[in-house]
Amino acid sequence: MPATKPEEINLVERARNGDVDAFGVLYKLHLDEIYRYIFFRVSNDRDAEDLTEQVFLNVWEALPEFEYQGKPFTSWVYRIAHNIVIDYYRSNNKKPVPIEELYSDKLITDHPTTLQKVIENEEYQMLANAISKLTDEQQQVIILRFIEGFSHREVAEVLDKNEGACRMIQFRALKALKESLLESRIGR
Amino acid sequence: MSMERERIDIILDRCLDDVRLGKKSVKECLRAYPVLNEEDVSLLEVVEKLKAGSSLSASSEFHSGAEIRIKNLILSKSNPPSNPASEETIYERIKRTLFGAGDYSRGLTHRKRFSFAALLAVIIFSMLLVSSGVVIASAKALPGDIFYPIKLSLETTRLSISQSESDDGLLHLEFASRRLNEIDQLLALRRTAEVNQALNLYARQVSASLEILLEGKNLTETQRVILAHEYEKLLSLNVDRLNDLLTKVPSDLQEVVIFALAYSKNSVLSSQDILSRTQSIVDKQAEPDPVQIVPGASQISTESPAETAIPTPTMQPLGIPDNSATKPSNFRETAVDWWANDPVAGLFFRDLYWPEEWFDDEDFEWFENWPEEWPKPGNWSDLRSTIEPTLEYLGTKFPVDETPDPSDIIQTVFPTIPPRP
Repeated sequence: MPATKPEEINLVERARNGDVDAFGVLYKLHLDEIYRYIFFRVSNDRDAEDLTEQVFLNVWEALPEFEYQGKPFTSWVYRIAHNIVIDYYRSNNKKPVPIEELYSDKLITDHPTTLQKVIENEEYQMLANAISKLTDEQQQVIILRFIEGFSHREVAEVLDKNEGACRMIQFRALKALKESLLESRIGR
Repeated sequence: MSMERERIDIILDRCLDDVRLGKKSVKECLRAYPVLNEEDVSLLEVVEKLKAGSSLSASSEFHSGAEIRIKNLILSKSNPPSNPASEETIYERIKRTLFGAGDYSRGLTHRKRFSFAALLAVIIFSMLLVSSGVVIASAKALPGDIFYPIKLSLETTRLSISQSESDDGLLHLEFASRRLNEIDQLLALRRTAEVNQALNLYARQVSASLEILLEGKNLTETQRVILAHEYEKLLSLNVDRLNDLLTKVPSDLQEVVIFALAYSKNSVLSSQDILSRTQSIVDKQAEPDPVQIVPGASQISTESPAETAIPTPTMQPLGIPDNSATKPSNFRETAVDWWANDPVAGLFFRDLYWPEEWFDDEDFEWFENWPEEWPKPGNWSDLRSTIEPTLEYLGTKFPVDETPDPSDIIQTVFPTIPPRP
C-alpha cells in the first residue's frame, strides 16, 4: 500500500466537504483494490461488484467522521470493506459458492473469450474459494499481504493489531490456505 | 518455539516477501537458504500462486460508468423521494430514474430560510464585501480563481433574500447561464481543468430550478406555468449551447457535458409537460413577464391536471424512422444521426426499433467501435450506463416477469412514430 499522496489527501478533504466529484475520483482510484479484497472473500464477481459499490457508499456516509491519524485513507476503507463482508455473510447466511456452480455458468454466459482468460478466471475463482475457507483474520492477512502487497505494518494498521500478531496469523493462514488449495484440487 | 525455528521464520518471512515481490523464485530462495524445510517451501509456493490474484480487476462493464453510478447513488441516497410509488408524476419518476433523486440542489433549495438576524448579518457582510471591492473582483471570477467562492456565496445570498420560490427558480437559471458563460471563458483561456467544476455547478443549478418547478409548494398554478414557459425558453438555449460545447471540449469532459445536457433536456421536457397540461393558461400568458410573478396569484388557478400523459422523448429523432421491411441503405448513418441528436432516442431505435436480424456481425462491431469521423457524444459504454436508468424506467411500465414486445416499448415511448418494421 503506497503512502497517501498529497493529491489523495486533497481529494479526501474535498470529499469530506461534500464534493461528489472528488469522491468519484477516489472511487475510481481504489475501485479495483477494494473489489479484489471483496472478491477473494465472497468468491462471486457479481456480489463483489455490488459490495464494492456499497463499501464506497458507506465510506461516503462516514467520511465526515474520518480523520487522518497517521494511517492511510485506504486502511480505513479496508476496514469498512471488512465490515461489509461480515454483514454480507451474516445477513444472507451465505456460504462460499462451490467453484463448479459459479464457473460452469460463467463459461456458458460470458462473451467469447480467449482460453487464457478462461484459465485466469478459473485460477481466481479457485483462489477465492480456497481463501474463503480461512478464518476471517486469516483471509484479511492473506489478501492484504500477498494479493495487495501490504507490509506487516500496513496489515497491522488495517487489522488494528500489532505486527507480531499479524506475522503469526500470516504463517497460520498460509498453512491453512495450502490445505484449502489442495482440497480444491482434489475436489474438482 | 525454539530459537532456531524463530530464526528460520524470520528467513521465511523475508523469502515470502522476495517471492511476493518477484525478487526471487522459490528455487532461488531454497538455494539461498538451505535451512528452509519442505513445509516452508510449500508456503512459498502458495505465495507464488497468490501473486496471480493481484492482477484481478473488476469487469470492464463494471468499470464503465462506475464513477457516474456512484455519484448517482450518493445523490439519490442523500434525498430519497418521500413516496416514490404513489405520488410522483411521470416526469418526477423519469427524473428519479434518470438522475437519482436529483439532489444536486441540496443546500440550495433545501436550505432553511434565514432568520431576520441572520439575514441582517448577510446583508452587512455583503455590504462589507461591496465596499472592499471584492464583489467587483469576484463578478469576473472563474472556477479555480481565488474570488470564485465569494461569487458563489453571493449567489447563495441572493437566493436567501429572494421573496418567492418563482424568483428562486429564475435565479437558479440565471446562475446556470453564468456557469455556461464561465465555461466559454475557461475554454478560451484553455483552462479545461476547471470546466468540469463549472459543469457540475451548472447541473446543480438546473436541478435546483427543476425541483422548484416540480415540487415548489408555495407556487401557484399560474406561477408554475409562467416558470415552465421561462424554463423551456432558457433551457432550450442552454441545450443548444451544450450541444455546441460537446464538439469543443476534450474527450474526457464529454461525459460531464452529456450529463449536463441530460439535466437540461429533462428540465425542458418537464416544462413542456406542465405547459401542455395547462394550455389554456399558457394562451392567456402569451408573453409572460417574470415581473408578473406575484404571491397570491392563485385566484386564476386551474383544475387539477388530468392523468399525466405518456412521456414523449426529450427530443424527437431526426425525421421519421424508416419502417420499410428491408434494411435501409443508410442504416448506420441514420443511427448515428439519431444518436447524436439524442442518445436516449438513439439507443431506443438502435436496440429496439430495428429488427435484430438487420444487425450483422459487422454492424455490431461497427457500433461498438464508433468511427472517429462520426459525432461522438461520449464513450459508448459510459453512455449506455447513463441510459440504463431510462430502461429501468421502462421496466416499471411493463411487468417484470414478462418479456415485452419491442414494438410495445417503442410505442410507449414514441407514440407518434410508425409501427416497427
